[in-house]
Amino acid sequence: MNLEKLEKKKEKNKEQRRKFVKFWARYVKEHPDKEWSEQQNVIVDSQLISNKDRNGSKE
Amino acid sequence: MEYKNDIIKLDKKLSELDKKVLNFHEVIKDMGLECVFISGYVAILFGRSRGTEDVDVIMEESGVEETEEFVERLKQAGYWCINSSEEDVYEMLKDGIAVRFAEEDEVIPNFEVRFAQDEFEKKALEERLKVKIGSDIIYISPLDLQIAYKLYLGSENDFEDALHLYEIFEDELSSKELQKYCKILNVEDKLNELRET
Repeated sequence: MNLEKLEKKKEKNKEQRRKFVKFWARYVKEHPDKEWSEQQNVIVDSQLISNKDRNGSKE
Repeated sequence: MEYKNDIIKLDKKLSELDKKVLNFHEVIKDMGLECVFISGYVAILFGRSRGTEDVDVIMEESGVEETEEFVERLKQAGYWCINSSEEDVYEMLKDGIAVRFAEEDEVIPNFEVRFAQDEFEKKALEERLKVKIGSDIIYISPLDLQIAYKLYLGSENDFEDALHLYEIFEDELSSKELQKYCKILNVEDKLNELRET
């Protein structure tokens, strides 16, 4: 395995992730709260929903 | 989102996580205790697109009886303590150990509660920022302190949280304060990296 190549790939991935964080932050700044939060909630709540699915929801 | 006179107003659609935070805060508020939400939840509150398994809460230090009453009220409100017996909560908090509470039959997400002990936690509590979410109010740590602390924690996830908050509040942040905290925490290089990203 070429570790040097792997390391470059990791760095590139990190850089791309950071670019996306900046892109999304700009989106949040420039759009109404309700608009970005509706999209964000899919990610934020997915963890909680899958947790509830495992435990059996009481609601 | 509106940041005016040290109050941030949010008109967001609440996530399930936000609702859980507001419910937990209600118990603290009813006790008349001061608290501040810090770390990852602050970034998530303002839009960072990630989940979390815990929400960090710094509370003002209270005495044995008050802490016992707080634990009892949490129990009545449907929470259980994950990492301690109810009797040991005060001793743990007093020793600087975080106590985790979750809703009954759940482990994730949980609320990681600590008494304010070091200078950063005390500062976060003293200079907490008010956030209005609809008709609810919660408090978060000052943003410059929050960003510096995230840079200090050092993981890539922490860096991304810091980057998100920096991008959102760039115009409102006190550059001087941010620089000051980063100097104290010895993360000025990370701050430069953040600014250059």
